[in-house]
Amino acid sequence: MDNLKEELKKHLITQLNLENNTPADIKDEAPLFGDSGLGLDSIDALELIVLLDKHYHIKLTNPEEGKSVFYSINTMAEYIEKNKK
Amino acid sequence: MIYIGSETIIGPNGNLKDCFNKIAEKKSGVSKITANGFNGESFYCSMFLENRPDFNTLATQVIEQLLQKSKAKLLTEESTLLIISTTKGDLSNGFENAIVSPAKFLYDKFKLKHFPFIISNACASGVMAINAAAAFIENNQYQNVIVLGVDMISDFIVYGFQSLYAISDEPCKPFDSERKGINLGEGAGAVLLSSSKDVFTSTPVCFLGGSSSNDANHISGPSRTGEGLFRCINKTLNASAIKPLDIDFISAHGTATVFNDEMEAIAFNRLDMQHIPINSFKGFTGHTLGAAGVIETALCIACMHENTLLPSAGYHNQGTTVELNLIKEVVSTSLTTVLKTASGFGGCNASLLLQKIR
Amino acid sequence: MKITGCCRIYQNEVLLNGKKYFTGDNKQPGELSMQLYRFLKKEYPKFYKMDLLTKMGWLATEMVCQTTPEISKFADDEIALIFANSHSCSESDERFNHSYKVEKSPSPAQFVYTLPNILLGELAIRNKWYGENLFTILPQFSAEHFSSQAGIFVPQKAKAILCGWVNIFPVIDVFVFFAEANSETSQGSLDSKLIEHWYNIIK
Repeated sequence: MDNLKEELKKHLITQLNLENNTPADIKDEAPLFGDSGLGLDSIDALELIVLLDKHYHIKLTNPEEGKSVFYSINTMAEYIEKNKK
Repeated sequence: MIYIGSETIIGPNGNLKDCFNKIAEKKSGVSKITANGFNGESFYCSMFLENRPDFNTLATQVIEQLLQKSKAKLLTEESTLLIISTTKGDLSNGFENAIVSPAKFLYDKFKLKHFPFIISNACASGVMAINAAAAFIENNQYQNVIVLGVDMISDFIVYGFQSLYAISDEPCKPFDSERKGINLGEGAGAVLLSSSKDVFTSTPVCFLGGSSSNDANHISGPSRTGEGLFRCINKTLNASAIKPLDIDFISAHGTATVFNDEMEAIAFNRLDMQHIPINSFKGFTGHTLGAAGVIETALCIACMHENTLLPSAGYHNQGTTVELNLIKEVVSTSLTTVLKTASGFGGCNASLLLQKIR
Repeated sequence: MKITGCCRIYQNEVLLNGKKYFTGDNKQPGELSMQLYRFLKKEYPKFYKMDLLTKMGWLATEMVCQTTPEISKFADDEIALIFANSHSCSESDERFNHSYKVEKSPSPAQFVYTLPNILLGELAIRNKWYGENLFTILPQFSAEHFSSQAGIFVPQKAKAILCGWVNIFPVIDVFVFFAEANSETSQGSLDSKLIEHWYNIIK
């Protein structure tokens, strides 16, 4: 699971153009969205859907589901473990 | 006084008169296009199905049709300018030249005295183009300005909006409680603005004023408070010495996304305009992007001449947290003053006011 | 009207009010935007998501704002943004095109930049500017265009203008200037020769 989380952080940085951040900046449990943390927005949420598909072949068809899935690295990793193909 | 008329449309549903009649008869303007989505989805669009014109041909045809409704030789006068409103131009020419090349084509073909003025400002372009036309005339830089709005559907556009989850899998329903997103549309619209009534072959209406404002909030999501649209309409009202009470009809942007329509409802309510009959033409025409502002203004002018309120296609139940007076049926009523609004990515908002000649 | 501040970026030379301000590392011409961002010591995470067109227009505007304190005296809707270029957002168009044709994964973050006026949106967000906007496509730089629009916007629709020519193809060719009504000269007129003068200073 730890490997997955590290890998996720690297993918996040690439997919979302977070050039100013390193994986070490991203805490596993920290909220990804909103004013704290990485300050991601609605477009980033859509890019995370692309990321799930591209790297883990998981299709999230309803963006609304994204709110809970993309809450933090932890929730993303859990979701991927449960649903990956 | 600035006059606006010679309103013209060429689209998948025919010309302006065809569109007007079909909307009045509540016929659908969109059809399911097989496998046009990125994963093979079939989205509803308003698309030319047979004899699909290319960009330059469509632009040429709509200009020629407009010229039939105006004084001969107008186009090549020193005092005439052509303004083009488009978001993507002609993508068959490569991306760097997509927008300039059709302008060059029209400049050469019609032997224009001035290179066309091209506005590319997302989906507010059409209304901004008409405002720019009026501004040129008001500042005595030109006497006549033809405004042309053209955009064509392409994989680029479909996949792009699809990636934003902005496209509905059904015919779109602006302002409706069940709305799920846009239908894309394509086509061309044209109007003529002039300081002289004599250039028009039939009675024009007056352009009272127009403006644009930015939301200063997000590049693709509309402001939750409708701040940009609110300020924009306020400026237009003040510039025209018009009060909300004076307005007989609003042609909203109404793309049928959850967020856009909600934003507009909030802005209109902040201006106390919730009782004014309002519609979105996009339930019928689809979202024609850079052409929308021009096509829909042309329809507004037609409504004014016919003294007819046209229904907002796809609307059944209030779908915004604050109410609006959506037009559900054709209504015959005197229309003197009409507000047209448009919004677009990049937080842009534009509006204009039209009024019958007194 | 008078021009009170301007930024000119041509290839890797950056000038502020006609004076050399920064020179990008020639060895990595594509990196100018990042070099300039770091040189200016900006802290604006959104910068990294912008496409090159937006980055260059944004950086030039930051520098004009930095050098022109008069800008802050205007109300939030008194400045009109009047920008233009000749190739629209073609660099982003290519990237989005690539995302679905080659990577088989249409990117929403790239698609949102496939409109040239997104730059104006980013400037508005950064500076909280709610005023008039206009993005025009011109075959080449035209001082006459900006002069004409200055006369149209000021004073009827705005009290000041931030104008920008932002081309990034085939070379970086950027010119952003701020102009306001001058009590000594006619309110809304801005001489195209003055604009041409500042545009021509490239080193």
